[in-house]
Amino acid sequence: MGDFLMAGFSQATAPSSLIATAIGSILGIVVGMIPGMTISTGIIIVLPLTFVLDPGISIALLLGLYVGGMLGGSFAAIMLNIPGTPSAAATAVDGHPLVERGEAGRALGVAVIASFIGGLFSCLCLLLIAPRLADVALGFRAPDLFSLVLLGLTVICSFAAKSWIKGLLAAAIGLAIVTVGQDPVMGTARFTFGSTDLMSGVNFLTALIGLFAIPQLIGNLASTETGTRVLRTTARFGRVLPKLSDLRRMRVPVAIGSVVGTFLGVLPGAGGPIAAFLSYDYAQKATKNPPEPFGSGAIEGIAAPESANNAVTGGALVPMMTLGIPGDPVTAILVGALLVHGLAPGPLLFIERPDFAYGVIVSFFWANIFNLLIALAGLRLLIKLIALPRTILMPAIAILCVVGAYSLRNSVFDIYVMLFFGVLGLAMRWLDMPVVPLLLALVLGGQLEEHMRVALTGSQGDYSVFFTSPFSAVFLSLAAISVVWSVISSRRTAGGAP
Amino acid sequence: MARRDLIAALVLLGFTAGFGLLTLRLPDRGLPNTPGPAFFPGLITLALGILTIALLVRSLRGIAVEPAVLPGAVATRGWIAIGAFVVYLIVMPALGFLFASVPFFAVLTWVYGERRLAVVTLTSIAVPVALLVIFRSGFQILLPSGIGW
Amino acid sequence: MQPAPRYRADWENVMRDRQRSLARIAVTGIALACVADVASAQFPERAIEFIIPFDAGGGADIEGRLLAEQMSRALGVPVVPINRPGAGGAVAYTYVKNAEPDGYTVSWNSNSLLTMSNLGNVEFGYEAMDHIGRVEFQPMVVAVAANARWADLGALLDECAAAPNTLRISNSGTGSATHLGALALASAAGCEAVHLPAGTRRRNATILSGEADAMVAPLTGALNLVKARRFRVLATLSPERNAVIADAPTATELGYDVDFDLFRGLSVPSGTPAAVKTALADAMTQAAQSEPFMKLAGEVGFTVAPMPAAAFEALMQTEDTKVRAIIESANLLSSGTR
Repeated sequence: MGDFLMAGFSQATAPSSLIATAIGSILGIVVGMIPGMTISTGIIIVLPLTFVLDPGISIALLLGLYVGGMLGGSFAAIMLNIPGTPSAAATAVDGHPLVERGEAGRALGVAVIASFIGGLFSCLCLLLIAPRLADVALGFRAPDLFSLVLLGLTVICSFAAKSWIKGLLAAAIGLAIVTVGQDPVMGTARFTFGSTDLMSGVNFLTALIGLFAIPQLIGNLASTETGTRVLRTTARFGRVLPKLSDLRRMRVPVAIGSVVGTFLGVLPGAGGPIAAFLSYDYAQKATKNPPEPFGSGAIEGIAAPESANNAVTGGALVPMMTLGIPGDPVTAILVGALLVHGLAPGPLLFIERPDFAYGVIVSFFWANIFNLLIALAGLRLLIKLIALPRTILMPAIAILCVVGAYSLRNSVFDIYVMLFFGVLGLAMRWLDMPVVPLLLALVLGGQLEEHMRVALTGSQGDYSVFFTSPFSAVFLSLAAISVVWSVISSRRTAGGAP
Repeated sequence: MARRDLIAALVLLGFTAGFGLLTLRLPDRGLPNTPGPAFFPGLITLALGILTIALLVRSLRGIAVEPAVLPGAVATRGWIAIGAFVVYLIVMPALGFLFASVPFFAVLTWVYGERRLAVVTLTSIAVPVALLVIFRSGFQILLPSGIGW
Repeated sequence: MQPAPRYRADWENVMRDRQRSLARIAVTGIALACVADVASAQFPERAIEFIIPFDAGGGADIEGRLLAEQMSRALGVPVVPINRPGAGGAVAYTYVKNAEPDGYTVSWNSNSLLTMSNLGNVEFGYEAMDHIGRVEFQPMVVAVAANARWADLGALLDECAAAPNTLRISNSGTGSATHLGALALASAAGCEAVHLPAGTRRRNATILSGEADAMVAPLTGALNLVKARRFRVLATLSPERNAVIADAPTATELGYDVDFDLFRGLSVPSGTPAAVKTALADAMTQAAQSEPFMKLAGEVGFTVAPMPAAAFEALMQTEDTKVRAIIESANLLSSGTR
């Protein structure tokens, strides 16, 4: 492992990779911070570039953006009380009261340090867990992989939706869309209506641009929040570097947040928001007699969710790298960016391209370092960008969506596909149906079918293979449990309502 | 009765029926003792059918709070934005990226509330030109050309 | 690494399609007035689209891009690689077949041209295009895990014959060249195997996980793991031994009459003027024998062997017959359209 780590280190520490990481981090902080933009928006902006850049550099850029975006979201949450990303909502609870007291710098400083530690902890876990998990995953056969992908999908659905029906329906619609094009085993044209454009199917990156960017662009029409409000408060910024006493108070909450975040990051679909609120809750229970009560500017209440939502990033990279199963839109894009370059994430990547696999981990490490440095050095400057004029920003993003959809396969048709998914995304928002299960069904659907058919070919049509293989049996039972659990928990919430 | 869920369930019912019908008409080919190309779509039809019926049943029984996605006046601007998008995509192959993007950008800045004519004009020319230059010179991605660049 | 150039010419073609009928009338008139040679004497006078039917970053893509770059030096105009992946090559081949036959749209090709048409996934055959020539070829290999119990190909196939439908051989997809290679080998040994359509991404993994007993793969796809001593090559399906893995015997040597190499070459739309094709063929040969291309060949394991159009077409005809025979005997064509 040492040699490969060194190879990965030299790849990820090349000047071009480091510059990409830094640019990604700045861009991430900015897009995360601006209300109405999310990490997904930032990723859509750089997506076309990842097709032409060297894969190592693209990944460095995207990881910088991922990590920076998590932090940027918290800046908006703290300064404006509007979470820039959903994961930052918990941070706003205690972060914003500090801003109102004129201690903006203190709140942001704690957030930056907590994020850094959370991110670094998850990076360490990634480095320790990923190669071992990849070794285990190397033994997985087609039936196991089928069940694993199915488990990933059901877990995503159960976390994503208030209503189990709508979560599973979104996934089923995604799976139906995946079948358009050539079948993955022998290339029979399905549902193509004779169109060559449809023969190659729907690329999930195209779909993602439409699903996430268009509803957001439309939704932003309604919001009048411009961020100018923040400029008043920056007058009383205070010191940014946390005092020793604050650092001491952060210890326990950060430890809680890092562990909870990493663990929930590994579970597909759970992600930032759940980790942030859960660790906030634990930190509240673990802190006896805080100087400021929770909810009115407790340092612990910022540190726990902040470390958690950055720890999620490293956790989410574990299943993405070792199993090829992404848990959120960002890791889905990372998978897409690797596939474009012919590098399929999964256990084999650690054997065939160990330099690259470890390079990703090292890039993630650098992303956390840069994030800390950039945030601390440029905090006052970056905060001003919250007030960027959205009248120009939003149209620019609309055009970048078109460029992104077009440049993936040099295809006009893909722009129309992107628009179709934009309208679908709006319809799903109208219906209160989650889009993440649909997106991940698009990412994983092809594999699901391929593994199932290979498994049944290997068993010569005997369906029992899915239950006789121990791995597969375990995954299938967990999948069943996650569906039952989401049915029960949505019953319970429905019962509570009048 | 949850109106939106009911509408969605009915639309999905139609979709499932169509999808199932097309699945039935898929050719059966492949090696002996192996599932063919219609196998997986068949399973999906089944799943879609069950879930859609569940949604239909629940929509008829349940009561739902259905907040408007956008307030009325904003919704109009939303439709204008989508309309502009459609027109943009239709004319782009003929006009090329630059000539199509400039008016589209101008419309969108207006929709997002920018009323200063100078700002609208300046940005709607500057941004597409900048993007074109960055992509063409920086990344060697040629954007659609049409009559101009 | 330099960002790979990805010039886009899609929109021009949309317009070109619309204007084509008008243009035809005009061109016919002009052609009558001019000496037929004038246009082709100037070839090439603008950038050439080099269509790659596979995803960016894969082996075929890297080889294609390098060839395009070298051809561009030979021709003095940009030769711009454009990926049009999808549908096992069908998307790209359909695009090139329908392009203007003026030499400015060239397709990087492979055996996929023969397999996808014989499977009936597209409604045209290899003869619907003109061919410039072959650039390179590589053998397919039969590989097993390094610690597998079979000492040689004979032992593997004997076991297969002794217990029909138990030995699992994985390939890159049903109907792909690797599947056809495995089918041909099994039929030469008179045995029935289970063919796992593991796909290019999972094929190697099925050997490591023990899910498959053996696999048929392109040499370039297996070489990394052979060098890492995770795989053992039992034989190549080539008429002659390959210098890259010189100690691996050929199947023919071992008494199994299978010879099925993977080629890559160039194709253009049918009806491209002869002089244009000659110019492209010269540039292709020059590019293939250029130092960078030969160096890449040595690294990843393919053999540079340029072949002129006539010989290439004859080769394709033989290979097409083989492909069709295997597909028909395996009964893969139950819904063929050809």
